[in-house]
Amino acid sequence: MEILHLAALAAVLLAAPFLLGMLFGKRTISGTYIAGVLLLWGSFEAAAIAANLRGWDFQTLSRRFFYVFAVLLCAGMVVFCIRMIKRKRERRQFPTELLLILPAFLLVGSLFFLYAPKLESWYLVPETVNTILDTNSLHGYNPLTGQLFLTEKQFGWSLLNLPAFYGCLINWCQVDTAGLLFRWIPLWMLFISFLVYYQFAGFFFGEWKKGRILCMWAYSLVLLLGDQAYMNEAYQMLHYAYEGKAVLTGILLPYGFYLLLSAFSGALKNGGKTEEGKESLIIPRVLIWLAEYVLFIGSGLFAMGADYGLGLPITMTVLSCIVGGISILGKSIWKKRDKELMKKGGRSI
Amino acid sequence: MAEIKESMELGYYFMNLEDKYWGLFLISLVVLFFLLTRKKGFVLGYGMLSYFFLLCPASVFFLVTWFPGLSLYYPIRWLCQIPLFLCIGAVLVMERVKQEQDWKKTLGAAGLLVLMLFLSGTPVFLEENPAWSHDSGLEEEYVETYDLLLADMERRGLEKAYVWGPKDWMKDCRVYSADFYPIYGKDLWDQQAALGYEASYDDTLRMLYEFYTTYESVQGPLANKWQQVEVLADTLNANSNVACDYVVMYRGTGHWKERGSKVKRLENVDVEGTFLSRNYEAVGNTENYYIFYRQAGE
Repeated sequence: MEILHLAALAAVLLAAPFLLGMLFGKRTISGTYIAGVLLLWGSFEAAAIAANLRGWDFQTLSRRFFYVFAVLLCAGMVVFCIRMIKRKRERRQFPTELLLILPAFLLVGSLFFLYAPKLESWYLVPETVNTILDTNSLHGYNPLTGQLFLTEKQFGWSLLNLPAFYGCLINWCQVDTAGLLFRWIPLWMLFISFLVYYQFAGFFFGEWKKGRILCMWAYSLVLLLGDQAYMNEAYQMLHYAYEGKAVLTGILLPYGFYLLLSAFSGALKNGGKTEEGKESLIIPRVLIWLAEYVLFIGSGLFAMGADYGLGLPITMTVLSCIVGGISILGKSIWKKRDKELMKKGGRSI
Repeated sequence: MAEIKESMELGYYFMNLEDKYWGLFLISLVVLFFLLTRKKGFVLGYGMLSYFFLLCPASVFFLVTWFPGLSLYYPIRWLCQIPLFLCIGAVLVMERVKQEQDWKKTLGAAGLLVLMLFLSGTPVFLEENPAWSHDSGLEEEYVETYDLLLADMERRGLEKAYVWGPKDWMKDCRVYSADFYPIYGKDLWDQQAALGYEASYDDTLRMLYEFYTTYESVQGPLANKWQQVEVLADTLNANSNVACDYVVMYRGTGHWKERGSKVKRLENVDVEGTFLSRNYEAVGNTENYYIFYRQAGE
């Protein structure tokens, strides 16, 4: 039976985001998967906010979100089938470089089995998941004592719904809390983090695929030989990957940088190249980008609540705008030099 | 909230300058400026340079000096994405070296980069890595007591149990099972643990916490602990409004000896007798703990 439960968990964590990502148009495998993960987290956050406002209990949220999830999956499946039919005509090659980054992931991933993070709690995630499942309430009970809150929880913190999402996974797949939080979720988060880095590296080494693979190996080296300074991104990813901080710093912020880089580089302009070298035909690329950015913000709220989850992405956007503004100013001052660079083979953006 | 905001102020930035990876990160931004300007044009190159100027210690120092009230609120290092830019920088250097088409140079550069990463960091799998100290997990003996409690609850047909015991034991019990309801939580002594709510405990609970903390602490003569055991039992008896099914007490002197207490006379304290004489039932014991039961409100 346990194998069946784990298979169900694998289907939700690995296959489902891929199908959800199909709704974002043609992309690379990693791009599709990450977009799917953002849609999964963003839509759960929307459902959980609705649950908070309407006063649903946890089981109702779990059941209703399952319906939304199923509808989204069906839509993704339809798009996937259409694409598979078209693909037969196109005869595309499987991106083998994805297989080459697998050993890098496995190298770090195996750590979770050799030195599996032990049962413990740092920022109340396990207690909160246990409390949600036990009391059937999203934010009504103190996770530390199991008692009803006497004072109301601040609205900003009630937007933090990552533990409720874990609760749903436990509900749907019937896995145990410790196994999910301390073994499977860290592996999943690490996997997504690798894909995000792979996607980001693609921006710099698009044509040089070996560069992307090297970048993945460098990332696993940084994780294994890293500084491990207290609470830096690599530290979070290795030790507390089930916590919102790891999700925000190891996955969402680098992906946010990737999104902003795409915007500043002009890749969203009409006529610009997509990841697959073709224009999106049905929905303008800017709208897809905007949808993804909204989901990125929603996922920030989902992982960390309003204080960090909203504050960090906004600070990051402001910082990027300042940096981007200075760069564009630099370009206008050194326009002539830029043209010379282009003639020598450099690519102006 | 005040503590969280405090930890996000600029002082945090300077505190983190000790990290060698932070230095490598700043170097990688400069490398990225030169290599990206050549590869992708001025926008990305200048982006990296302005990013460097915003984050380098000198500019942060001047920002603080010129704008004394300025605090950046959010931890800068999360926005920096150190591993990401380190990896991109390292691979761009490799790409540049590779263009020279000399395999010795390429191999040498790769080796040098790995060596730099290795020397700057602490391999995560080594025991001396301080990061592992946080990952000790739940104490084995705690788990043993939790299992004893759960077995007893099942025997008595209890779905949940109000428990009182050592601070760390209380802190971890709900990680193990949601059937445990500690009479107070970590948010009583650590306000930061109360995420988004105001922890409210009445005076009785605060008093019980104070008494148990005094009993647990290595301060004061250890020979007085027998009095403190009696005080704990009597206080709980006197406050029947506090729902508490199970009480966990230290057994022997292990707890205090481990923490460097010099007095070794605690063997004489009859913890079991003290609680049994007050109508508690002995549930079981482990090497260092006794567990007692009495129906809440009795």
